[in-house]
Amino acid sequence: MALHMLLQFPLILLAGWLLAKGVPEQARSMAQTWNHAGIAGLLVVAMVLIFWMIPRALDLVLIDRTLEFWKFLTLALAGAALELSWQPAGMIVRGFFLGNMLPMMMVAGWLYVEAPVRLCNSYLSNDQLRTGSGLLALAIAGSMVWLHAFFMPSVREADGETL
Amino acid sequence: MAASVILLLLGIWAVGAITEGFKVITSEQARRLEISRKQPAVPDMRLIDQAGQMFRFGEWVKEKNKFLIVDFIYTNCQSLCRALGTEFQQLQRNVVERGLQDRVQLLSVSFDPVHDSHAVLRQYADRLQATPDIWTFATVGKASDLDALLRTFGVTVIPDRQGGFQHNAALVWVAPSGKLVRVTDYDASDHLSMLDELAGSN
Repeated sequence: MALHMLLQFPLILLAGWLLAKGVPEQARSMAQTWNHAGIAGLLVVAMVLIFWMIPRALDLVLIDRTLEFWKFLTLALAGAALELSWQPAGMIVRGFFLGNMLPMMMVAGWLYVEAPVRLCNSYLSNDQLRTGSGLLALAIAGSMVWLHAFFMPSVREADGETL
Repeated sequence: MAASVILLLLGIWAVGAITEGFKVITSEQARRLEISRKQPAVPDMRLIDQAGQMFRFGEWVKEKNKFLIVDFIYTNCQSLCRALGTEFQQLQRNVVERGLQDRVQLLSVSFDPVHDSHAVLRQYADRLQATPDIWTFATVGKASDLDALLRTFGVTVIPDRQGGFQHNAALVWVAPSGKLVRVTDYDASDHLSMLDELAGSN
């Protein structure tokens, strides 16, 4: 479970991100016409991540081949959408995105750690505990990186960002 | 803007689908909802009881013509199955107190047929002071039937890497017609009122 959520998921996202790096400039600007300020793209990322944090989705994907296909497709798509939307999104859109996603990850992690029962029938309870702790750690680390980037203008300038 | 709205609707639809219309977030809740909605029939496979008798599950339920309460266990279990065993002991007592022997049957099915032979099951039944007329212990006759049985009842069993298993524990209520009708927690407080309901509908 921990490997599934905390290793495989990020790797598929990364694959999508790297694929999107290869998108030519022309197609990129075409994408911007429907992806104003990266809002639509980040919405895709948010919804895909929400979906794959639902315990039933994690359980069902182990026995349902169709869902597994969708897992790879949607996570790769989310990775690509993140790459295509992060630069166009300003500080406000990014803040809104992270301000929703990071607390949600913390809640999901806390739920996995604190639940008195197993939330996934196909995973052992100590695996659930590991996954929950991992999600919490990831969310806290993400928040710190984000706060650091927000309050350290030097980092912002280095990124070439504008508000 | 339009793209965002369409994407949002798609996302809501997907989350709604995986949660059965925002009703469940775990597959355990989903299996309970599905059983109470679809009411699947008991699979008609061969089981062996603690006396070593073979019987066909589906036929057996219809012959008994009783309400059947089923749980899934393995005799080496140190945790959940003990709680299930205690709950069944109480149910057995309540069945006798209410004079429901002819209307309610308890069945504990072992999902560890390799270890739990009928002799092992008989010892286990004796330890729990099970009355054979009320409380039957059984396991599958053929190990290859186990998957289908567990699937119908929505039970997932995974080895815990310490020689045991982790499994979802619940009580499944089977109507005399052989249909699964309800799933309740092993520590639910409404079992007695359900028995009273049965007693009252005489």
